[in-house]
Amino acid sequence: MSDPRQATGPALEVRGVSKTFPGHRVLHDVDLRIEPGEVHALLGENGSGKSTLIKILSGFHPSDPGGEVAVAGRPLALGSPTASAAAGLRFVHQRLAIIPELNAVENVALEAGYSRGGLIDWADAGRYTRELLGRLDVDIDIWRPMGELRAVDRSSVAIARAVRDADEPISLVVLDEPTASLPEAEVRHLFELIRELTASGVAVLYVSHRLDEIFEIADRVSVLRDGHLQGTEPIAGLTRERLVAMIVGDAAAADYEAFVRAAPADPGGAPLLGVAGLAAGRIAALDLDVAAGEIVGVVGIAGSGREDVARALVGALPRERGTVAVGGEALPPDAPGAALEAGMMLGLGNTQPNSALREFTVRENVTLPSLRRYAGIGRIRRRREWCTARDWVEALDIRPAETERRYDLLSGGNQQKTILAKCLDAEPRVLVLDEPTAGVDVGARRAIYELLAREADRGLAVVVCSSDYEDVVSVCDRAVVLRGGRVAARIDRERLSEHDLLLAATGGSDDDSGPGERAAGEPAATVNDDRMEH
Amino acid sequence: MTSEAVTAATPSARPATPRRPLGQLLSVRNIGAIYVWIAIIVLFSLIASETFPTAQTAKAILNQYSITGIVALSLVIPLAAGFYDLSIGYTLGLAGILAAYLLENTGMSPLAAGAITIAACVVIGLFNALVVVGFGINSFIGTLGTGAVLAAITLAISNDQTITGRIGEDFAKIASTSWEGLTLPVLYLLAIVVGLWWWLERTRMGRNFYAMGFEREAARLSGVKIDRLGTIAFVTSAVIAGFAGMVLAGRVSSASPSVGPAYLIPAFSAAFLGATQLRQGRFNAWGTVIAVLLLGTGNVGLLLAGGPAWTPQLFEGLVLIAAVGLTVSGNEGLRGKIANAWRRARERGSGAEAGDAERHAG
Repeated sequence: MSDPRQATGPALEVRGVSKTFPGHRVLHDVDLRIEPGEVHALLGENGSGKSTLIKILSGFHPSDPGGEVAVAGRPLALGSPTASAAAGLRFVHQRLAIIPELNAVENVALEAGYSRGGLIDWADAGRYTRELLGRLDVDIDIWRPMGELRAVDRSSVAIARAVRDADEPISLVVLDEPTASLPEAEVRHLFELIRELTASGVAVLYVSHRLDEIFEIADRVSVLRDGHLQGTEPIAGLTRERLVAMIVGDAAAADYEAFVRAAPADPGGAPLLGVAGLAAGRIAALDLDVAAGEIVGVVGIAGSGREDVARALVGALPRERGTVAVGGEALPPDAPGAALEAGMMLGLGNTQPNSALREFTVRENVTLPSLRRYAGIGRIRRRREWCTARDWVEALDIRPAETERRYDLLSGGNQQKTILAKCLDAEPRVLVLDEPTAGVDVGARRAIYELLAREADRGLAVVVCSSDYEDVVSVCDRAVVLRGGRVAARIDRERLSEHDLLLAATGGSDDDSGPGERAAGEPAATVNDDRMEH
Repeated sequence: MTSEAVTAATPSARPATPRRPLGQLLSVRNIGAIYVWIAIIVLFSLIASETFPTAQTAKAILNQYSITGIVALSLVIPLAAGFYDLSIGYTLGLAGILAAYLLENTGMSPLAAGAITIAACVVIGLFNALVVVGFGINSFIGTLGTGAVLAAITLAISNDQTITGRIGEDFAKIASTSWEGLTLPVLYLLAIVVGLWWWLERTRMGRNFYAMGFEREAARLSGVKIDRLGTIAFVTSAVIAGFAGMVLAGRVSSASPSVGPAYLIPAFSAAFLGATQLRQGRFNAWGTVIAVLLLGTGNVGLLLAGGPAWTPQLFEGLVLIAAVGLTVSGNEGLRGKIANAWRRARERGSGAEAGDAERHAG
């Protein structure tokens, strides 16, 4: 690792950076100052502008005219990844760019290259890798395929590789969600590595949704909301409550004309969807009952198991333990087709793989799960099929209003509506949605909420798994919060707020042994406390 | 549910299902192969004006390439469903040998021999399905393996000898019966193409084949029964290829154990070129037949124009590469690269000012 340069001022200084994409401005006049040797956390909800800011720093996007960035006192030419790297900025993305089939030496060489000449000197390459890792006190078997090592070892190699010797000394390493795929126990190792880094004078910009980590590792915190910097504060003076308020806004609900679902009639009778002791993927244990007419949210930060819930319910992700029943009928652990026949339909968000058939038209996508209604084993009644597609396009205002348009030519919001049309045309009793509003603009988002509320009022049971708390607050009757694969909290309608969801999801509640201790002795807030004054 | 309200809307009040505009139907993108075909016909009519543009040549092409066409069609269903079936050539060879062997050694009726052969093809299809669908082996590798097994069985039955003995008049009729110079295989081709078209375009199973071919997991999540349809796809290809093998044996009144593989490249060329036609990226029956006719016309034309004997194979190989290149969509594909190169060349040619003017005009 290189020493910070002698000169110089802050490791990174951002002044007045804005970014406008066609149609909307995602960053407004952001100022940020990071000192050498500091761990600086960058927080914000999805869509708050964090990634855009990072992409500007990495040279992926140019900023709007007028913004300035200086690295270690020297102005940085924006819009060029080479310039960013030469200036001493390093980036470790959530997807590490570590190839699991290759060993550490080969993975390091992917970026660092091998020593000169056409032949690889493995002994030399091994020495180099070992030295690189040794500087950060990383001790692993460098000849084993990295897929066989711990997740934290892959992160460590990615970080060591990022901060390897370069022509220019390194000023700042950006870690984007470095713990998202790490088990709790391995996070500690990563923190030690970060401290090694900062001890040598390198600054770290740490992006994460996990507040307890922020309180443990960060020196200062900057918060972005809707593209505006809400402020930069030393972590020591902050409480978790204050931080959450900075992230979601003091009056989150007042900022927009929020959709709020009217209280449903008291759901009666046995639950339509019954889940007991479900274990699959990152889910360790999930119990969940959903009655007809109910909309239940499932939230949790990345890695909490939330992202596996929707697929596990229908069996797209094979169930390891537990039972899932629809209308009392138990489902097999790995057969989405059987779930569909029992009346449970999965709708994945349009940004996820396998959410729809890209090469199919809107019409073909909408009728795929329900095709039996338009054809027995024989001929498809084409006119009927087309009329249905046409009516869905009109009802959901899918644009352009063409049933014969290929799905992959639609915008994100219209893709999402097509997926919903598909799900509803299958006439399910239980609808499981994952990230139903990812990449969807405000107008379409509202339309989706209204549609879900209307269908629930007609007796549909809905599960909404989302990383966007607004989804859950707006349209859900209650929510289940996952943490570490288990239910950390169940929040009922009266207490459903973005604030409490975030608090519960990031470990603010009943987690008294957590590293959140540093939160200035703040008693761990529980969701059952009275709501904080906003 | 909304959908009930939706379906309750009176269909009669609505216009008929949308049809694609004529301009789109006739566009080069949609039926480019037909224009190439016409160009080839014109070209060879000029080069070999004596022999090429005659009814006799046309019938010869149809007769000769009907079996190639049937083999190519056998690929359409598995390809639509996202599977390669590289074993069809060997299935074809085995079916011919098996039918000839039964006729020669058992004295059974041609009908019975045909029925047993088709039954054997069903077993071959099930075997392919077991390997690919059941064991989850990549279809390209899996059917390469089953094809080798079939080749071994073919050699074992035939002793590596061409069986010419008692194929007999009766059996030969399935290929040689003709009307106005057109033989029965042309009719088979027509029947199979209509059948496959209807199956793929008009039935639920056909739609589901396409769905799983494009994105298997997405189709599975929509309730498509992947394993069952995959099995049906492999049985279909084996039966059609085996049928082609029997027709071939009937036509030449003998069965050779080495006949199969020669059909593989033209069949794949036609199926992939066919996928670029009519349905834009979907393997389909009519497009495949158009492609076979294009290949056949080119090959026969090359020979009539005095080309050396190796030209047809060269032509087939190039058509396969061009066809697959055209099906790869987006900027990575051949079409995208050509389009990009064209745009760059135009930009260079027109210069900055002209470019500005164009932009303002636009």
